[in-house]
Amino acid sequence: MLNNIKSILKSFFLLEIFKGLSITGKNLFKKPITVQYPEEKTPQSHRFRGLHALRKYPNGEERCIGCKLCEAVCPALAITIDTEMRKDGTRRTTKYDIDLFKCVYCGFCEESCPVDAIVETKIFEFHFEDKNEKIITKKELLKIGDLYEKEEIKDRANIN
Amino acid sequence: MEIFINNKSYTAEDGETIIQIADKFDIHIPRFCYHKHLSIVANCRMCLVDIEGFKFAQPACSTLVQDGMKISTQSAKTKNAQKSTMEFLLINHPLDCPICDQGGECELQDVSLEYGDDHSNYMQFKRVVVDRDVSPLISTDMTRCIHCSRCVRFGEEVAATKELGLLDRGENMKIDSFIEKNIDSELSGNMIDLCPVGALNNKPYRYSARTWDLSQKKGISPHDCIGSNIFYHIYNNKIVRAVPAENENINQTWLSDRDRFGYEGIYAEDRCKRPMIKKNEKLLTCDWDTAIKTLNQNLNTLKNEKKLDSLGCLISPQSTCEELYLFQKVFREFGANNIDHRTIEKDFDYQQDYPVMPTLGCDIKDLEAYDNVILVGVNIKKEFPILSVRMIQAQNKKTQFFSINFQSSNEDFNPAISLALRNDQLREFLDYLSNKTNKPNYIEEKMFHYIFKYIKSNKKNLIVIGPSIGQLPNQTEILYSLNQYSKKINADFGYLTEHCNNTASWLLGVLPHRLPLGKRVDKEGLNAYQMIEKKLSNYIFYNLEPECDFWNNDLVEDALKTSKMNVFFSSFMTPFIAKYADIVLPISTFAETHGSFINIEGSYQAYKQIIRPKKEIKLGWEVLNNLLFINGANNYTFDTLQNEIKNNIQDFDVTTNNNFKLSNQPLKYIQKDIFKFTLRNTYNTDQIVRRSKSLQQTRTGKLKNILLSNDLFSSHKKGYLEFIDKDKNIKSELYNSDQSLPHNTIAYQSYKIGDAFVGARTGTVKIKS
Amino acid sequence: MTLICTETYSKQEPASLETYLTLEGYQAWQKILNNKISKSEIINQIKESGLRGKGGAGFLTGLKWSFIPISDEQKYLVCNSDESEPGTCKDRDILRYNPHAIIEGMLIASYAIGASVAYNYLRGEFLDEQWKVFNKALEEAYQKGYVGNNILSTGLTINIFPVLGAGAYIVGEETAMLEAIEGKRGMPRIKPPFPAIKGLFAKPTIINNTETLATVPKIILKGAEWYKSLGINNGEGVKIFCMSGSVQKPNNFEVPLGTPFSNLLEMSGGVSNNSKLKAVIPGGSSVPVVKGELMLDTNMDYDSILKANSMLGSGGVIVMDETICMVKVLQRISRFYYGESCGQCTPCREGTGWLYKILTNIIDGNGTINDLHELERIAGLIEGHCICALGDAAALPVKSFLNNFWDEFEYYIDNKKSMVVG
Repeated sequence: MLNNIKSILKSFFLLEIFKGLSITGKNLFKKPITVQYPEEKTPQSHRFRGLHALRKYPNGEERCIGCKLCEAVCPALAITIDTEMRKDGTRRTTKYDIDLFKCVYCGFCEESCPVDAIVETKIFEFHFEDKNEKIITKKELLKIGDLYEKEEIKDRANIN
Repeated sequence: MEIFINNKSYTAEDGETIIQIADKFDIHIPRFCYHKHLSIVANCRMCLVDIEGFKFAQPACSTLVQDGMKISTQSAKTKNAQKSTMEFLLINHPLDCPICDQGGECELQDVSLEYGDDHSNYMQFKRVVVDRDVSPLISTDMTRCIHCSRCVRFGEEVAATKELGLLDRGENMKIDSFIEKNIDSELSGNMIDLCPVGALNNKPYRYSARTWDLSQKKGISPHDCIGSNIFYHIYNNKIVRAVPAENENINQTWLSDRDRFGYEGIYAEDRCKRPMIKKNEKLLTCDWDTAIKTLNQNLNTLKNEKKLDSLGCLISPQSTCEELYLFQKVFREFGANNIDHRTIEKDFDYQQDYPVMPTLGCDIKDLEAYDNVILVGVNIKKEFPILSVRMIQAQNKKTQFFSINFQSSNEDFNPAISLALRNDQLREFLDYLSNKTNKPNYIEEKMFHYIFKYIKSNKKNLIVIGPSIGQLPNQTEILYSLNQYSKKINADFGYLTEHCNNTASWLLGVLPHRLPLGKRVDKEGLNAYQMIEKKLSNYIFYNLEPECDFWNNDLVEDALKTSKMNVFFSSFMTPFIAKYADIVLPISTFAETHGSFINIEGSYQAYKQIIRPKKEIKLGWEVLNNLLFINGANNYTFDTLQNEIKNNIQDFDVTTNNNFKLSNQPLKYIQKDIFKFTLRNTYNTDQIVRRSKSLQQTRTGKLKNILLSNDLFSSHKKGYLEFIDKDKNIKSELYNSDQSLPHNTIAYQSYKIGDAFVGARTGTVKIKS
Repeated sequence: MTLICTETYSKQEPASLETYLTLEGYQAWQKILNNKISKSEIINQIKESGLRGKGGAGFLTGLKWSFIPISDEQKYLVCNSDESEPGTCKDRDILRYNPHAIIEGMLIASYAIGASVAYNYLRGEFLDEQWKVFNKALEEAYQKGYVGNNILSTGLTINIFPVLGAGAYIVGEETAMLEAIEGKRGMPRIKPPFPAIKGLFAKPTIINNTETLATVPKIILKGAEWYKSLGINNGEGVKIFCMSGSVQKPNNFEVPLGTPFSNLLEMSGGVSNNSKLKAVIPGGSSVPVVKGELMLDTNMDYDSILKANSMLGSGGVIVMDETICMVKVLQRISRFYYGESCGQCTPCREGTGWLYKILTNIIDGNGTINDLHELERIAGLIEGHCICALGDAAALPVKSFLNNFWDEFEYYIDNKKSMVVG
């Protein structure tokens, strides 16, 4: 009986609506957390794992030795590698493809690499206009590596 | 007796070692230097186990079991000993697993996972060893070596050619060849398998894949009649390497280099890729339908015109049983009688009395049961390297070997005598042995002494006839004499054949005079030599390389020139095929088809398709089946075909005595002028091996020179060699003397001299002085 | 004092046959041949005398001989003159001054075990002098008919062949020596089978030290009781001790077993450099080191030295005074084993190098206290895990040096210089 009266009063004075509007009201005067992307950007973690890159040594020699550990560890089977013996007798890749649609950006490839060749940069803004572009090749990966080498060194120093 | 391992009781025999018992009952004991087919040295110290009553852990590989022995493979003492060994092994190991081809199948890696530490206390410099290029087949990274000495012992004990040894001592000890010399053994590839780490690795395979990427398919060796079991490792539908599949009855755990690297021939550049038909004197590609239909049409025309006598059907005994069976079936169905596989032979008078299936006469593993084995016309080391292992084992068990060949054989085992005789001398010699008349004066007295001393009729004797006898113009004569001799000494008769499937070719009736299982043919056809010599107007060549696979390649060219239709079922586009073919049907090689081989002891061994062929290449049996099918016969599937063959041969008794009696004594062959013959170079025996790049780079593969016997060489003064072979004039600067040849003999090591073909495999030549 | 092996040393032309003959030379051999003493009798006599192998292990010689199977097959005797143990130089002098005693001993031993061929394996460094002396002595013995076919017209055949080594310490190990005589790489074999069953060329073989064999003729001549009476219980007979290091007069001294070390030190003129005795390695570099004070109270026999936690070994006594740096000594010893390991089995091949490298690191002043613990640990890992005793020989000194002189090692690491002056 008493409960019935209570509920009638509640609905009569529209208490629920005021309660709900109070949250709106509170947030109306708060500083908005929305970021005006792409003009504004949120801060990134040092550990952010974005687009992949293949690094080189300072003398310009590619780091990758084609050990295929990243290929083996990749849970999404996104990496494809072929190797051969280069003329100087070293083990090198002839093909290093990453399927960016398959990749889950888990970072295992980075972790498994014995020579720190494959890394995930902080780049997250990339797009394709053709479906075939989803596979990035060794050449492109090395280029990304060249462009972001400095940042990469900084990031790795921070992580360590 | 009873021993206890980890408190469980096991029964053991006297004289067994702990590791043998442990292996038998699947108890894991880590090891590096121990290998069941090699002697025990106990130098890696990895298998140390705790034995009750000993202060220190003892090596399981060398400690003999004793009654009541209590062994623990799990106790702290065992683990500590093993861990300490592991630590010592790793301090000087480069740990370059990421680029090491052994990574993933490395015994050191596996064991270190269990016994190794994740961190090393060793802070000093590691040992570095300079590598040497020892062989085109084996790559070395000696810094990785853990000095288990398996390769050294393999060389000493199994291959009996010690090519690697230990140099220096202490920490600086290294495995190396004594002098800067290539590793030349025909079995050298086994050191790759034996090496527990990546110190000795497969050179052609180097850096091309990782072990975990590979899939493994079983195959049978197509390069010799022993039928070694092989695992082919495949990456992206490409064979990247071959390793032995263990078969204690045949190849044990070994594999000859020819079987290991021969597969490379499949990837030769001159593979036939599309069917082709000749139109207006030009060979043009066409589709399969057209090619088969044209062939069928031509054959039917011949049939209707009753001209099938002018059709010669030749097939290589390197084909699978299924191909051989279908081949004779297809062309017999058309009505052809000229069917043969013996393309390297000339003299066929023996054929009526020959056994239905020539075999070794005993199982390969039973060779050691013989007291005396007489090898005639075969150089085991060069032609059947894997058999050489068995012969060394047999010799260690007191079997005596006698070798009679056209070149005194350089064998890994030590034959009691090794005679070099010309073909005419061979017969005289054998006749003397059986009748003791006309003693040949060109053989030293002590040789006879040996022979009469050891080879007696109350001993167990075996005469093995090698493939070189088949090439002789007086083959029948030699067989007859051998036959007489075998009766005298009460010997078993055995054969070693040219290719992997000669046995099946005989059994399945790929012959002008016999149907499958030795049934008689109503109308006997021409044999292989006659077909070529008589210049028929139509030819079918199956899986044959006209340049190299015939007794006389000059005659083949003549025959091809004059004939109207040349059909080649071939995997490779050779110059002759490109020039003379009317229809080319690209067929699979051994690896691209399902198939089976019957080896020399008579074992039927089947295998599944190893890799898929390229799109336009068809499986050989499919093409033959297609021919049958469009003429209204039943369509075979591979299984029904294989079952039909199996049903056919299952009742055949392999143990049928190989001894046969030649009904007529053949005429005596007289050798005039200089005897010439073509050596069966190890890496020149079949069309796939000939195209294996790595094998051709070995020292054996590069042998091209003409060999002159000493007397010819010393009487020859010119800077070049010029001689007349039949009516052909041959001139060459590449020749040298060879003292292992009998007098008045010339030997070719290749089927070509410069650009010219050598002509007949055996015969006579005249040197121009 | 009774001298056996060193009897001729003080004579004019000690190595000549005449000198040897004047000292009852070849009489034992003639006694055996004339009296037709049976093989078992000789073996029993040697057994009774308590003669022990003098090369290091101290195994009972008579017992060893009795292991030879009685059969008609070919047997061999090998005399081990590959004396390479640092601090030991007794065989060198026996070969130089008393070669006939060795030849006679070899003849008796060969006769006792039924061998018709005996080898004497001399180390390569003996090429200049001992090799020539021994060959000359052998020639004399052949001329006199003591050796060869139909010895002294008895129909007996024993031929002795000297073999020259090529400078490997490890060949002093008996099975490695067999490999070397067979013409193979000198690497120890696994035992069992023991050489007495399957030795040289897979035939029964006995291998004895030079000194042991040189002692044999006198025992046969004078009897087991005489020899026994020379020493003490469980230390019968005499032994040559090679006094070297910090002593005034380094020399070989043949003294009865059980002689106090202090007497021996006195004989060699006392500690040099006017210094005090610091430490002694009593039996060649392979055995543990003993502190000086303890050693002065120890007698030179098997049991007493064992009580002092060391071994009698080959009798190469290396004396060290207060001016000697133990770190450097240990580094030198380790370097020896690093260089002499045959490389066959893992712990020794890798471990000896590791020990040497760590010690060098300490000497160079880059060591840490951790390194000392590491040394001890590695020595423990090597010990008992190798085919032959070289691994143990490399590990034991390390353990004992650290045990006895830990402070000195610590001082070296902390101060990057040696505790002792000089």
